[in-house]
This record gives sequence, C-alpha cells and structure tokens, in this order.
Amino acid sequence: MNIQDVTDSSFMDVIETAERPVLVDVWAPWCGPCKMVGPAIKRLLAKQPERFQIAMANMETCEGTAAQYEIKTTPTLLLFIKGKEVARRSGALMESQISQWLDQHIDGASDE
Amino acid sequence: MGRVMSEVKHSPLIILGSGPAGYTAAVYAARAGLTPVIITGAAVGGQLTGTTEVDNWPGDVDGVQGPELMARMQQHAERFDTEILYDHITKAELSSRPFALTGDSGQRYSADALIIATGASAQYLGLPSETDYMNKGVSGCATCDGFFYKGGKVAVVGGGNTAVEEALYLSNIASEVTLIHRRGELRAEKILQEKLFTKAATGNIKILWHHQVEEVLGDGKKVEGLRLTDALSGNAKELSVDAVFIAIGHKPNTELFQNQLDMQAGYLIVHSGLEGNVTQTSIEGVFAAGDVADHAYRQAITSAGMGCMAALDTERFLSR
Repeated sequence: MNIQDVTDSSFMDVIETAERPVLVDVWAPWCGPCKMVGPAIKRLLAKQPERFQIAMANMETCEGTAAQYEIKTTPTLLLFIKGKEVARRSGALMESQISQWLDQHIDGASDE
Repeated sequence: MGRVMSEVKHSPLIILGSGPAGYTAAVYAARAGLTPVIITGAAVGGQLTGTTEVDNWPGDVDGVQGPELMARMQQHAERFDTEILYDHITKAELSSRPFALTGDSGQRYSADALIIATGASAQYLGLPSETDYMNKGVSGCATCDGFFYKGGKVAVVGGGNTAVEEALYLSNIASEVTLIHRRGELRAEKILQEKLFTKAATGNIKILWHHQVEEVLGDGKKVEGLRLTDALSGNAKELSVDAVFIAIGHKPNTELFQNQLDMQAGYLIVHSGLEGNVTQTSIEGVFAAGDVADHAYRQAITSAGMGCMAALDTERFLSR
C-alpha cells in the first residue's frame, strides 16, 4: 500500500517491513500547516509512485512514537530507509522544498 | 528547471490568504458573482489556527475555538462556490495586466483583480541559538506545540495579548510556566492581565519582569534552558526549561510585493479616507485587507471587516 495511516502499535511494523523508503508525516488535526504538507507529499508520491511510500501518523494515535523520536512540533516529516531514520524536517514546507529534500536523501534519485 | 510548465489558470479575482480577511472577502465576492479563487498560502487558516478560545467574536456568546472558527469560515466560503487552492505564491508580477502569480506547485495564475490578505507571521528574537533549536523546543505557537510539553517546564517570551494567552494556555498543560518580559508592565488587554495575575498568585505561572533572553541553551538536540539578563541590574541568570514560546509580535507577509506596492514599515498602504475604494493599494485593481495592511487593530473582526470592504471595492473595480 502506498499511503497508510499508522498508530503507535503499527508504526514499527510498517517501517521495518517496507520495501521502499517510508516518508512519515507526523501531523495533528489542530495543525494548520499540516493541511498543506499532507497534500503536498501525496502529490509528490503521485508523480513517482514507485519511489517511496507514505505513513500518516496522527499525533492523537502516535503520541508514544512522537515521544520516542523526540518530535517537538507538527508537521514533522521523517524519512526511513530500510527501517532506519535517515532525515527529518519540520514546519510548513512547500512541495518544492520537500521534493529537493527527498532528492538529497533517497539514493539513486532521478529527476524525471 | 525540469518542471513541466503548466497552463496559466485565469480568474477574475484571486484572493491571497486564508485568514478572516481572505474568507470574508471570498464570501462577499462569491455572492457578487465574481467566482473568486482563494490561494491559501502555507499557513492554512491563518493566525487563528494557532489560538485557542476566541472570546470576542460577536455572536459566539460562549466563545469559539480559533481553528473551529476558521473551519467554519472556510465552509462558508465554499458554500458560495469559492474555489480554494492549497498553494503558496512565490512570485507576483503586478506591473502588467492581468496580474501574474506563480505558485510553489509550479502552477501559474493570472487575475484581473487581486485581494492581498496574506496576514502577518510570528516574529522571532533573532538569536542564532534560537534558530538552532527551532522545532526542538523553540516554538512560535503554543497551541500547535504545547501538546509536546505535557508536565514540563516552559517559558513564554513577550508581553502582549499573544504572550499572555499562550502563558495561560500552557499553564493547563505544563507543570510550570515562566513569562519573560523585558519591561515592567504588560501590553495585553486588562481582562487577560487579570487572569494572568490570578494564575500567578495561585497557580503555576511565574512572571520575570525586566528580563531578556540572551541565549537558548540545550544539548544540541533539544532545549534545556535559557540564559537571561536582568535589564535593571545587568545580572545574568539561567532558567531551566524544556521549551520556549516566542510571542513578541508579528511582521506582515509582504516580501512578495517589495518594490511593487507602496508600504510603510513593511505594511501595505491602502487609500483609506471617505471616498470609498478604501482598500486599494498603490496599484489599481490590487486591494489589501487584514493584518497585512493593519498595524494598529489586528483583530479577527477588523480583518473580516476589511476583507468585506476589499470585496466590495473589487466588485466596483471589475464592473467598470
């Protein structure tokens, strides 16, 4: 599955079993900028569906995960490759910024 | 480069911004048949999405939550067929017509009239250590990030309404809140000051008067404290905190229009006066509403009122 919702109980399983890099979007219903970042990463995925997958982590069901990863703000994007966190960015990022950031951290990045 | 050039999307009216000014302008413009398009900007819903209780919105007798009010305004705009686009404009060309805009998405837009309601953004102290710990305990929004400091020790910097509101909000989440203010009195409304002083006398809020933040301290990964100086004695001291919320004011979001529209201290100058067309900027057909053009009042209701005026001014301009 390309986009899935994760919770504290499913988070590790999704990260560890994923075949592609996993972009985790830690968001919250009360967070305005999250409404911009969520659709932006989904647009990026639609352009390159084979490149990565998305895990949506709602703070309300991922409080433990957020504490474990010392996340202090929403939205926060975490990039996991082969089960390991390789990068993170926080704040109201625009699509182009996220795209450049993914290019930096996903190996074999190709600009189609 | 490398981006597919999309076709230009034209609209009679584009509204930039999704706070009270933008949504109110959309409601009025849509009802006038101008089929407006709102481009929300990165901070969807504007500053009110970072607040809690709004107690002075007329008609909401028992108060209303900021994010809820903004969700309702958006629904209201959508009810009248306003198109809402989640994009952020990175380039504006106002010297030719139609006005040309480019979004972060790569999409290009054009419009016969423009309402600028891009609002204002939280200002920061400007310390290098503050930048280093941004989103690692330094925050500009207590309601966004307060959740992460349940039971912790936090500080709020500032002395206006926002600072006092944030301190009060955080006092329900954190174990201890210190309000740090560089002066000996607050600028906040009386009713808020009274709430604060009550909480300071009986609860978990402390007030540090005449203190300034010199440095944000931490272990590289998260905030652990602040180095402060006492403005009166010049003495330095350290305060141990898990987070610091900066609430020292706002700056208008007008960088896009630098050297294109007349401004004063960064705020867009509008016509004002008694002849109508009050919200027009220095370019005909470009209007401004809300905090982007208002340094003095900066209320949800005044922004909404100005958004309404901008829509009415636009309607007159477009029908000529």
